[in-house]
This record gives sequence, structure tokens and C-alpha cells, in this order.
Amino acid sequence: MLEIKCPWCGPRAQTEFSYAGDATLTRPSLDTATETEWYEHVYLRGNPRGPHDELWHHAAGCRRFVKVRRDVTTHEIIATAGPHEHLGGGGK
Amino acid sequence: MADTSPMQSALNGIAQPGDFGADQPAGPGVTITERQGLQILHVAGDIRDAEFPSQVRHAIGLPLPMSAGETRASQGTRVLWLGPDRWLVATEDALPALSDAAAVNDVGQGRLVLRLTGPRVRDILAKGCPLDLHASAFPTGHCAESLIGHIGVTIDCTADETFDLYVNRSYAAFFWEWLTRAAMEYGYRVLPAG
Repeated sequence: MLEIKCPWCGPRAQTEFSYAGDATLTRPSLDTATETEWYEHVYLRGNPRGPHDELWHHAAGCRRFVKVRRDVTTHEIIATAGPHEHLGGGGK
Repeated sequence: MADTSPMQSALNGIAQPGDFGADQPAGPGVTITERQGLQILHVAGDIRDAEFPSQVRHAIGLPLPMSAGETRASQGTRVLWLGPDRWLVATEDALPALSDAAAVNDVGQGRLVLRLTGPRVRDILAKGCPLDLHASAFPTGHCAESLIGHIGVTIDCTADETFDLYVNRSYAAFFWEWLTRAAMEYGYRVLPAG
């Protein structure tokens, strides 16, 4: 089981969280994005090896979203932050 | 606002007063009492709004706890930190009138509140809770929202060997089953609701 450090609650068990998707996505512009851009935003994901930024929801705790940089091969959690904060360099 | 007529316990027909489980010469490992008649409010607001904390403080007579797991208490009233913008107010008194500076929901009729007290209470809860419940990590006056037996529970350590658990009412029967089975090996006493 992972231990995820919630920026508000401190270290908590993974079971208190639910995975909430890729944190690197940027929503296309409602006014100008093409159908292809929307298709890519909604359906297409990279599958990078190594550190990856993802969102987790502290569903059984403070109910906040948390940005987590996790190495998807080792499960090491490198950094966590609030959903609008930057995790620093190194991730993708 | 709130309907103050007596509400049927969520444990009606499920919990019976008495001594159960292993016979302990030194007394039961835990004593369980359902706390009835509590008024419970869920309060949400933005602490950057200067009006909000001061108005809540004025209404409930206690400052909002601002750090994780912190509680504030006065006679009959407890305020629990649930998140950076959410608090739980549980009081035996009349419902405090809170202004529109806060988003207030009366959740009293949606919660089962159990008071657990006894020398084995931490051992029992630890069977189904991922938190460190040792007294050094979860002391008196500390609270947390977490999971017990896979369901969301608000945990409030009100005294050294005493915990108040706030469980969603619809999970009452399941949680009672989990709790009593976990307590079986230490022996448990059920007191009439009060």
C-alpha cells in the first residue's frame, strides 16, 4: 500500500484516497479547440515510465485533491502538493 | 430549522444493552454508548474571508480549529477540524444560529454517534483503521476523518481512552456488526443509549 502525504492532513494510507487521473492535462479552449484536440484531451494518454504527476482525491479524509508525483515503476512518491501548486522540476 | 422530535435510533433492533464477548475479570475491553440528541452541523467556509471565522466563533463560542486534527471543546460542545475549509460542530445545546458567512448543513439526523471507552478501544479500532491510533500519535483532543472497516468515519478522541465515532446513519447496522466482532475478543459492554 502507498502512503501519500496529504498537504493538509499529513501522511495517510492510500485506501483513504481515490485516483483522479493525469495531473498534466490542460483543458482545451472552449472557443477555439478543434474536435481532434478534444478527442486527444478526453481519450488519449501517455504511458510514461518513471515519475508521473497525477491527481488523487483524499476522499475519506479532508476531501481535497492532491497532486502526487509518483514513479510508476517503483511506486515511490517523490512529492505531493495542492492541486494548483507546482511540484518542482523533474516530473512529467 | 431542525426537527427536534425524538428520532428513532439507527440501532433499534440491532444493539441490545448487556455484556458480550470474552469474559474479562478486569471488566470489558470497551463500553459502547450511542450518543443521542446531539445537534451536528457541518460548517464550510473560506478562512481568508475575515468575517467567517469571527462570526462562527461568536455563534458557537469557540474558535475554529485551524490545524489538521485539532479540536476545540467547551461543556457540551465540540468543534472538529475536518479539512482546511470544513468543520464539524457537535453540541448537546440548542443549535447555534450561524450567519450566511458560512455554508452550514444540519447533518445530525444523518449520523450515528457512538462513544467508545475502555482500555482496549485503540486496539479495537486499529483492526480496521489505517491511522496510527497510539496515544502518542492520536492523543486526547485529536480528531480525524478516515476509514474504519472500509467506511468513512469521523474519529474524535475526547479523553484518554474515549473515542466518539460519527458514522453515516445508513451504515449503522454494518458498522455495529464490524465493531462488535472486533471487540469480541476483549469483551464489550453495551449501555442504553443516552
